[in-house]
Amino acid sequence: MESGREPAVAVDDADVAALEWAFARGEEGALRRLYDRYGRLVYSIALRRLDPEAAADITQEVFVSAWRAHDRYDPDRGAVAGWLVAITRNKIIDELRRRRRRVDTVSDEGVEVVELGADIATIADRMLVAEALESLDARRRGLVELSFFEGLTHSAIAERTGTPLGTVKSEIRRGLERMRRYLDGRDE
Amino acid sequence: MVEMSDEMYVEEVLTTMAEEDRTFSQPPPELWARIAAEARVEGSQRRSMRWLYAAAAAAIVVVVTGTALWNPGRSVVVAAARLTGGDLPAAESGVVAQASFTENGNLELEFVDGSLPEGDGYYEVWLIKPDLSEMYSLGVSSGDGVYRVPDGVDPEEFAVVDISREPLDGEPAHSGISVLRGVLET
Repeated sequence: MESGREPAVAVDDADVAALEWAFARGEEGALRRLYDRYGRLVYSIALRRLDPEAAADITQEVFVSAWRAHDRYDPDRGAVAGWLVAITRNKIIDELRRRRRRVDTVSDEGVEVVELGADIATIADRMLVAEALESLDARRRGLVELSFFEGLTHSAIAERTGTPLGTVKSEIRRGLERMRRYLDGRDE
Repeated sequence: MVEMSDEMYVEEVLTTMAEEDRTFSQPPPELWARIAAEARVEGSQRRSMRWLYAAAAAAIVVVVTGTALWNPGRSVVVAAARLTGGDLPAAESGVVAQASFTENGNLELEFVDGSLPEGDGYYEVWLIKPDLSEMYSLGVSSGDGVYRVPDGVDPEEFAVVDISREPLDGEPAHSGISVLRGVLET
């Protein structure tokens, strides 16, 4: 287990952009880089509702499907992390539906599927945003955390960190933009 | 299902985020090999198409450089390939190598233009069937060199000469990153 609170290295936008374009073009080696970077995101989302073995199977399916469909991914429309999460979400729902159908064939499936979808979507979005947060450099991430996890006002953050108020605002805004781009990737 | 992704939604996700949403686990270490194996089968069609083009190019080169096939200073060359292409900066900088399969069962590699760039990991030389179903590693490359091909490995069958960049991960399989490649022509 690795805590999300101690990210090893913040990767800058340029690295992510290079990876996204390499993947979209189907360059050799891009799948490995994609997996190295986002394998744990996909696996960790699956692990929230599935056992480790099924989560590993789902992760394998997600990356193989993503590789087959790489030319349908467009970096201009959002982050590849979000695009992968959309695939992950669908695979988990399919798997859970298969399982439920096996154990309970008389359940009201329509209602269940909607609930299932909402539950997985919420988990997936939170972990996707957590992934985006980790990809920020330490300063920007720290400011976002003070604002949203500690609930401090921008002025209080400026005071506590000795950062000019304008900088606090713009850093947090840029952080939120990155997170939004990650979420944009999952919209078909 | 909430699909809006404006700033307000981002803020809502952040404020409702729990510790478990920020806790990531690494997938089991063997998972990449499984993905690579399945994805490689998937990608082989496309790659062998590219190799077909490479084969066509190599055939032309063999005609042009036909006189170079028999080098009096060495053993007799029975098949040769010009190695180009690939996906790393080596290819962009125009590195070209000549691979010659000799009568005595060696594969000789000669860099005729440029050399492999230094970087992480190492380079490995392979003989591969054009459909990618089987391959032999001939060893680590650091430039010009002579590689022993196992007896019984037919260069007409294993016609693809490939130089891959390999990460230092202890994984014996081909990384999928081909730096240079070409097809042996008799």
